[in-house]
Amino acid sequence: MTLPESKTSENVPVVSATLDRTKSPSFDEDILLVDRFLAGDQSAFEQLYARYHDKVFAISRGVLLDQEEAADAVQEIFTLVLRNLARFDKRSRFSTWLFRVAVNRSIQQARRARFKYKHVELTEANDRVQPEEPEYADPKVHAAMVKLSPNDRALLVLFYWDELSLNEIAESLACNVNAAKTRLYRARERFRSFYEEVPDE
Amino acid sequence: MKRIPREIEELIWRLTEEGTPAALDQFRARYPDYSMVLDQRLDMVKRLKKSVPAPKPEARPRFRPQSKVVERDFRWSVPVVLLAFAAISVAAFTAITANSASKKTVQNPPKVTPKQIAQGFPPPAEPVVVKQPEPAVKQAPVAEPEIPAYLQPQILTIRGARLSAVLQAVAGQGKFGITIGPGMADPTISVDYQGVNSIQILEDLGRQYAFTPFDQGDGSVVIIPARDPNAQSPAEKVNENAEVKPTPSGTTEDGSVSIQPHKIPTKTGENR
Repeated sequence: MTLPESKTSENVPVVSATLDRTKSPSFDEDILLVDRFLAGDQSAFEQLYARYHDKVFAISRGVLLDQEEAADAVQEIFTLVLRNLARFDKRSRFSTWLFRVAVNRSIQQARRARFKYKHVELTEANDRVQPEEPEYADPKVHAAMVKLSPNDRALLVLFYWDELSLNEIAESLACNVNAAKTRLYRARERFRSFYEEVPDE
Repeated sequence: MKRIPREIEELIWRLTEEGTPAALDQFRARYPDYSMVLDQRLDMVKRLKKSVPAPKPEARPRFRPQSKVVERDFRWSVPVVLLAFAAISVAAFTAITANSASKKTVQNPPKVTPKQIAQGFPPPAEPVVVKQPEPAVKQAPVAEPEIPAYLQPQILTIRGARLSAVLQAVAGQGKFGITIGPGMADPTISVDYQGVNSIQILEDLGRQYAFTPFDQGDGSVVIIPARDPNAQSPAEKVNENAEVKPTPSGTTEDGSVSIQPHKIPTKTGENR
């Protein structure tokens, strides 16, 4: 990439070059696996689970910010997918449909968890078992993520962790590309603002 | 801290996403003031990308379908439905209360007899509307005073009939009794009145056939076969108290009523 000759880049969308960032080569394979599962092959779903577990876990973990809750959420998400796979119309990719379920379910769970933890007694909170190893790779990133809303976290996770393109993010969030771009820009700005507030260790 | 211009901000974001080393160097050379901001942003994005949780493959749990997964979040559904129901109930109660408060009791004025009007009875009072304590939303329609039959415009067309029969017909339409005095001539006449009341018809016939109608005060009129040129006719008395609107053709320039009976020549139409 080189800088544009003009002084400004007004006409250049900020993240336009990322539109075709990921083109899943496993698109046809996913559909084949879905068809096989619908035909009665249970092992096909196991393959889909193995293929997408980590990405779905990343979404849940990024939105929920809790390892155990994310692990439970992943099981719930795949259960929902298993139940509703017959309703997948194959007009979109299986992956974006799966990510949409994951994002919606994780955001729903995050809101529920926030409501639940508001009512936790202090003594009860102190009694919680501390994780054996540090749960978060980067405390500063985590501190900034905690301050974001679940929706903003979902956008950042889809873009930076799962490395989805804007088209895929738009499909996963059931909105158009421009809306996804705007929402991502705002989420990123909010993250930067919170990140800069956190002092370096 | 100085605010970064929007175009520079966008450029920094773009470089942090996909900037090549050459592009980064170009930016630093062109905007040395924002070089540090670019470095901080690069570091932030790098740390954000690195913090992606990567569970170890051997630690990946087997898929265990959950039996108690609720597909929809009903946490807010119940309160929302209850709130909506409560809002509808309050709205319905308010509407019913306002409706009942707006009802009024209307007392119609006492009816006025023809005699009272002919004798100069004061015009009927406006109906008394008794309002309820609550502010009224709707206004009850005001009852108009009832116009007696003998003051209502009539259409009377008779060809070749006796005067006495015509008078009886006029009395019948005006709904009052009539008594014809002795010695009254009874010619065969034809009349055609439109848009004039019974009193005006009697008055006009009296001028033509030399009789005078007298209101007896009990809802009846006596026809005396004589005429006093100075006497005030019942129609004139009525006109003092009641507004009479004859047809435009029967109104003169000074506002008085002038009725021209339309006589149709018939075989027996001659006056006897």
